[in-house]
Amino acid sequence: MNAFETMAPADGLTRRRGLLVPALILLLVFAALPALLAGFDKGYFYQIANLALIFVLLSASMHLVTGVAGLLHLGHAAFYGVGAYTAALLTSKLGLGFTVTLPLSGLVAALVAFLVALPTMRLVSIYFAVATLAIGQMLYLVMLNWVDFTKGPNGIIVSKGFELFGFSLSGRLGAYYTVAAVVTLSVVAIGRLSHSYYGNALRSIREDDQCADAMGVSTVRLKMEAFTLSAFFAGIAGSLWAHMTGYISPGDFKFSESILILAMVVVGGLGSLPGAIIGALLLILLPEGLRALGDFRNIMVGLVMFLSILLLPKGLLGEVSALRLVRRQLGAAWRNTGKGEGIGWR
Amino acid sequence: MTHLLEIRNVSRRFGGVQAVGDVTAHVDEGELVGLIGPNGAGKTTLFNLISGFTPLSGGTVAFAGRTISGLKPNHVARLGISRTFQNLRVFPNMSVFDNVSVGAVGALPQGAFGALFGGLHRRGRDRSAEISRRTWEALEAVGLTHVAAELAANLPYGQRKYLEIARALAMRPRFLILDEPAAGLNDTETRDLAAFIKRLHGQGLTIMLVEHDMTLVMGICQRILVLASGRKIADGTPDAVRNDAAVLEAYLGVDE
Repeated sequence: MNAFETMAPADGLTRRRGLLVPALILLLVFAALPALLAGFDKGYFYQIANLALIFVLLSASMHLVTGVAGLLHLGHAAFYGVGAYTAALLTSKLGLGFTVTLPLSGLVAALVAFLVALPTMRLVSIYFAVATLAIGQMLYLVMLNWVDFTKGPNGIIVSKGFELFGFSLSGRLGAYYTVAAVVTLSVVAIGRLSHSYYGNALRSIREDDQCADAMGVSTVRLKMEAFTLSAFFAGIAGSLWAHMTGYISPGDFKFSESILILAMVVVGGLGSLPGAIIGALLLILLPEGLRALGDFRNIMVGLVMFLSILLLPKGLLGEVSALRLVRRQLGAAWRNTGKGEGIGWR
Repeated sequence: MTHLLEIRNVSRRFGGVQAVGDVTAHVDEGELVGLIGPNGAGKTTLFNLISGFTPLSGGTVAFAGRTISGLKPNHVARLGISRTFQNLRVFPNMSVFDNVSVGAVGALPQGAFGALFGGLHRRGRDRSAEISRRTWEALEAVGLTHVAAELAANLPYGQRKYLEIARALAMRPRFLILDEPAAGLNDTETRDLAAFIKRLHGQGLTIMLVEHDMTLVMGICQRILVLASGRKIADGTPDAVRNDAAVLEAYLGVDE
């Protein structure tokens, strides 16, 4: 039902989505929530709100590559890291500000993704997943071990906060508004990508890539694009994170973060953008809300994920069952294509 | 005059098995050609060779005067060859409309840029409108407009067959390949399908169909190719093929 809003013929099926829900969300994000935050005036709440928004963007960008295009991506956090390190290094070495580092973080992450995708995009199913895992680890190890350049485990202090063309946006509220605005714009862009005929072509690859190929869809090229675009948005999120916290270290971008983002997309429902957003909010806010439980909170979070897979195979709002997607990918790995080609390639 | 589709000395081996051996055939613009043969005769392999799914071991395939052997399936598809699959491959977790729109967007690509900014300029809007128009037209042709919003997985088997054909039609192909469209259909449904294929052909579409159902093939095709053990053993009108000694032998076995 994705392309309906763009359909021309005026018949019963034409569905222009109501403006009420987006308006309410915008009101919440840009008016109610900041008012609430200002009322409490605790740095901790701002921190949580910004973190949640950044993970909304990470989850939304993963939605594009895993939920829509069906590529099991296990190294997403590394591109988030590439973005964050780009911002931090540009700031600390060249003294550049947020206005410049934001787009550059996205572009550098996209460029790295494009380069590593070149040899991996012909890998199918689970082999691709393992390749992304390896890519994620490689990038993480570069951040950790290239001490001369990245300062390794010591991390980098990002001395500059948010600004727009020299106009300072620091201060708690300014930072919140900057993060909220960038995340909202990015999510709208991702929404346009996934709710379009282009998005349908990506979905067809998720459903049956050989069949999509027979319909004229350039599967390899589109997979590359989805991978690169999602890395771009992860890089944007990385830049937000770097300027928000003022300090980054490799630990922020390790494998477990990739899995956390994947879990957000799965809990929310593969293929659904609202699902990815809700999943991100759930998995960021739930552990914070459960702080009273002490060490038990992580067990609770794990339980929520476990139950959601068990009871809601399609997540909260998903189009595809995550289990089925993984099972099919595993199955495809061992299915001989009968073409005398190496298994795992296409 | 050149043929629309020209298959020259095409062969394909799978390990030690010669699936298709030295087949030469052609299809002219506007024809409705049947491809029959016993199980394992290489019919589907021949289709896969034409549509680029399986690389050739030998020979060439030319379409509209251009060599297409060696091209990727999506490239072949964009040149105007569209197909359906023997084992029914719709996109189950997508709506009927979205399924068919993939055919349209495959032939008329919308890129990431178009998806992001297409609404802002005229060319982008025209492109979207055209994709939508082709999708609705294809849905109308198979009579599935009333279930356009339904998930493909929820359709009954017969409708999914038509959905697959609609998706192929949305590409506006010059040449349509149907791989066993009547498989799994009952007699009434098969008759309806035959009438539908004839109607498509009547609108000027060149069609090739692989089929087990003899009455369907004999009833609507103008010309029939017969494969047996990967080789072409007959090529002619339904009547000529029906009485061909080699064909009878291939289907019924030799009486010794």
